[in-house]
Amino acid sequence: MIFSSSEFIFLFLPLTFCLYFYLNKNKYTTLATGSLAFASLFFYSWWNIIYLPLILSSVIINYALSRLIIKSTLYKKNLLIFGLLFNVLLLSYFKYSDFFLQNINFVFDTNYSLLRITLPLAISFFTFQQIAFLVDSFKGYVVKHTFLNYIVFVTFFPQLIAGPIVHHKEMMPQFTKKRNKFINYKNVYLGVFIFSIGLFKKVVIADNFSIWASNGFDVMDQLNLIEAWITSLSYTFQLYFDFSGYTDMAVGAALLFNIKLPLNFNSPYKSTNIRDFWQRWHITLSRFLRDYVYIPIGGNKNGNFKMYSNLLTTFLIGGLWHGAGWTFIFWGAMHAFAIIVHRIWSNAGINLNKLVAWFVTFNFINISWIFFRAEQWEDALKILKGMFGFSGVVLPTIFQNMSFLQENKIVIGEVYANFNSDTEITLWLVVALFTSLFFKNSNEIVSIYKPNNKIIVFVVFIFTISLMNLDKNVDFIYFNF
Amino acid sequence: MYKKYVLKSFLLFLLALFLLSGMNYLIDPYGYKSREGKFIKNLTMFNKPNVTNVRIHSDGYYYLIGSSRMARVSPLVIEKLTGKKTHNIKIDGATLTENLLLATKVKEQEKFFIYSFDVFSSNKNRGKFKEIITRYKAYIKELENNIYFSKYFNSDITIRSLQHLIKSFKGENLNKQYLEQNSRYSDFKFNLALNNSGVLNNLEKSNFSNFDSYSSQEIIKLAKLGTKDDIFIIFPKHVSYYYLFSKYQDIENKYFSAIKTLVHNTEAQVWSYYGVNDITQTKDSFIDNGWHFKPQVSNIIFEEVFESRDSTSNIKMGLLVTIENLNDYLSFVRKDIGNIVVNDI
Repeated sequence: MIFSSSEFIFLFLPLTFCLYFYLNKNKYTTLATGSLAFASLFFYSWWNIIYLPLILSSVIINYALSRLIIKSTLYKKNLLIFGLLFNVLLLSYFKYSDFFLQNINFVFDTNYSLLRITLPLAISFFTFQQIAFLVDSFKGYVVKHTFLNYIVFVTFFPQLIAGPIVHHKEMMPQFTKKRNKFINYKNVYLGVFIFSIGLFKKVVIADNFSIWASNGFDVMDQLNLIEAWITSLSYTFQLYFDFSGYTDMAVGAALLFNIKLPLNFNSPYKSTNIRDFWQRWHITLSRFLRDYVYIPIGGNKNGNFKMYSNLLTTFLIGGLWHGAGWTFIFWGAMHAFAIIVHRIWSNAGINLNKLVAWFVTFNFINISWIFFRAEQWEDALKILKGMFGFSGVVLPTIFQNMSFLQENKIVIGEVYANFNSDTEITLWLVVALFTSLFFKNSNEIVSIYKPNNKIIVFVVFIFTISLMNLDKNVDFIYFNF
Repeated sequence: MYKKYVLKSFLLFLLALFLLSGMNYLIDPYGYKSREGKFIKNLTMFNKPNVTNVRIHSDGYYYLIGSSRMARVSPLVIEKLTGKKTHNIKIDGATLTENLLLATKVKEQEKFFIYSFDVFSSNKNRGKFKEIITRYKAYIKELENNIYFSKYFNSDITIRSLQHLIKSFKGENLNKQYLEQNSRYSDFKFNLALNNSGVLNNLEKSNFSNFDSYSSQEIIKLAKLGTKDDIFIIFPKHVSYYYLFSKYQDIENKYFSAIKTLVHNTEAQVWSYYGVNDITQTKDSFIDNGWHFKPQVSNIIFEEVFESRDSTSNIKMGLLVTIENLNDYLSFVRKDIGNIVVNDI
């Protein structure tokens, strides 16, 4: 079940909402929390019930380990190491075994059969969340929680599948707060508002871009200059509207239950440098990597060289976390190098013009997403070759009179022939760029606007338009991670 | 205050839902309920997996499956001839794999098909094209969807409904596209057919490059779906193409072999308009350099299929091919094609 499906919007969400607050209203608070846990596991099982035991055992083992770590005095560290190993091995088995075997086969010329395991939904997210919980249990930051609260913290359906990667400190107190056990119409209003914006971003904007991006990446064998830019930009905007749309829906759905999820997006394409970008994009992942990888391995202590190598390690892990493939690792490496270059640049005290800085940052991100999206190196190279004019240049007929263009092997003709679209695609790209640069993001919007009839009409309008586009049925990109 | 706005939003949404769904239900632009009074473009000319899915789950009796030739067949023509509700679910440039998927889905619903067993769709090589694979996956995914909410409430049907209203207001003829195709005078030279077919140049992505037949097992799988109420039909092309199929890439032999497998393994009727006959010799029966027959030709074909079943003597048009007459028929067709003189085309 995905957020942008009619069964979620019209059945699952309203039923869970009504049951949860009905039970709370009648003072069955434990049962109400239980209903939320049950609903979340049902939501997870809808995709594939085979993996329900996996998430349940992961939750049970991690909770038990946390309790043991808190109680133990002698074996604290050993228990933590065991817990970390358990989580990392679980994730590695399901996510990285085939990648590992492929590389073994390649390097040693062996022929081990691949396991071809279907990646369990959300495993990357609930594993990271529980690693943080274990580490904090070790550090003494975790206070005692009931198992029921823990299971809701890990599996709470709005954030279970694709984040935000929540921290127990910001979530657990919310589940126990008495005030949160009653319907709060302000939160319902804001929740519906944010959910509607997210749904619109996903089904109207991102899913449209996905058609053009898939066409360029998966279907076309060769792309001319403009086609290649259209493809890469389409994916850049698809990813942004898809993931930020998902996050908005998660935030909105959680708010219905009076739970505030942490900020995960803050207009990332407005960034004027790569560090700024990582403070705005998938903020909770950056936070996790900083607190549980970068700082533990040394952070920015011990000199510049060590800091750069720590940054590289952190980003390589970040890349690998997104997917078991060399293109993801390369993507991580690209960002690590960009961050290092930015640090050196900043330390040298050089300031770029803001517009130039934005342009460089945006184009770097756009190019790096190509490796993030490409299933094979060839696909990435195909797009890059096109973007830099190595696969031919076709310009629209308005350039017909400029004969020097044709003398330089530039073809004048149908630019969008392979996209079944002409002005539409350009318009979408311009509007997407404009929206992501100059519009307030959903967090800013809800904090500013007070309810009035115009807002109501706007919300109902975008919600209705979104519902009318549900039939496209495209999965969220971050479900793959 | 917030409670009031939450309620207002909910009521406003219900109103929008009711109005839009109501409009789409009443106009029914894709003819889910009835094909009468609908624009032919909406009934026959789109490849939309979601529309196909709704049609398969609606109360149709016959389903028209095929490639772009089937786009020239109005479901209303079949309904008038048979009295049975008919939907067109063709896919432009369909491969046998895609058509087999549709036929299987139709049979799962215990409905019947009229299936265009086309030489073009029988080239397995086309199934390797990335765009075909992508489309096939889209159809598989969509046809697994249950339909309960989005049937009359989606952006596509809303746009079609609004277009239907505007066109009706402007007085546009319901059969505009068919009338345009029927009125187009068609004359072309053999060379155009040769270039159009792609048999000669073996371009990587031409229609008949590297012609590769589907396996017997795949054709048998299709054939076995056919019951006595289903129909396989081999639609006509201009004779130029039959000449080319006999000369290049052994297409004729490969295709005839597929026809034999089909006829030997199905209970369905197999009607053929292949070869030299009154339709295929006349350039003006076709458009697109002889590649697609005109919509009016489909009327003649289906009048014969549904009304003049005893047509074994009328060899100049179509023929109901059976196990008994199969070999004679194919030999006869082969001989006729052998007598074609290119300069006369």
